[in-house]
Amino acid sequence: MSAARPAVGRIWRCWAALVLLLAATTGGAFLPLGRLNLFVALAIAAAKALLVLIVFMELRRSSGLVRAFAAAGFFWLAIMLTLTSADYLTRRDAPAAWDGATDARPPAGGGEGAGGQ
Amino acid sequence: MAEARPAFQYAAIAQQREAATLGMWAFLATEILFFGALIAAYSAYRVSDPAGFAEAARHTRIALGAANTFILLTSSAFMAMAVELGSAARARSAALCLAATAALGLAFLGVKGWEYVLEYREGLVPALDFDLARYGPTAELFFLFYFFATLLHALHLAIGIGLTGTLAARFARGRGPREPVLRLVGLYWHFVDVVWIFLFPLIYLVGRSG
Repeated sequence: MSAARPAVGRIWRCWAALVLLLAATTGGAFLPLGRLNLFVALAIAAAKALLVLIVFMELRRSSGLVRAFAAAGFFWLAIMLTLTSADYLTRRDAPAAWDGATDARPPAGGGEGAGGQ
Repeated sequence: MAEARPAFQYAAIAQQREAATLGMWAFLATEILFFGALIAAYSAYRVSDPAGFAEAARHTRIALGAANTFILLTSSAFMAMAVELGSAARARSAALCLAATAALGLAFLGVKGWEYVLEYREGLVPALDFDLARYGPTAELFFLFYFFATLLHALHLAIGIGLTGTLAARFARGRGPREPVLRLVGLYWHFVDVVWIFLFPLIYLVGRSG
């Protein structure tokens, strides 16, 4: 019991930080920051995830091998997301087939994009 | 809890715990990529029409989403408490924390279910009653992602609730599980929480300022 005390305090401090971050990201979403909104929201999400991983999932006191396994999952995820975006973010003149569906929206010029392809 | 004997293939309890934790993380790595593929698809579609995605996201209910995030974060804190108390051999307190965790998980599913009902009434469910003329094709893509991602998450959470409830019952009867079990269920529960931490901004927060 004497050993459990400090851990209990740490758990609820971590919880308080998570709730504060939740309030910040929910409020921040209504600020007109343009494209920055998405980055702020994702940065706060990453901070919350790190808190959960390090404190709740005990990576703080895990061995190097366990940490390496945990990092590996996110590392492969980063590769998947990077290679996927490398295609979609740079492809300008050869749109994917399904781009026809979104071209049906009116904004640019108002042409009948749906029939094209 | 005097039975501090490891299974026969291990030299010590610490070694058994290390192996089990490692195995759980290997499983969680596959789960990260499983949900990651969904998020990659979301990003690819979003790049093609960011304004349409922002517009569609405004049809979600941010108050319910934020409330559910709060519920899940709190459930994770109770799960961390349960793991702490379980290893300190305080079975009754551990049982209470596990019961609180499972109850909060059920509350999350209740709120989510209510959200689905409201969305059904508004004609936002693709393949069932999506109002294409009113919301447009990009919104249908967005809500396809929304339902797929949240249902997959809810399925994971339901499994977690089952595991947590079972452990709560065992601790309440004074027969806690062998050492690494509670810890592993805890890791799984927190992982489901991490998935939601990323789904929340992608679904509810994009496009609120527009």
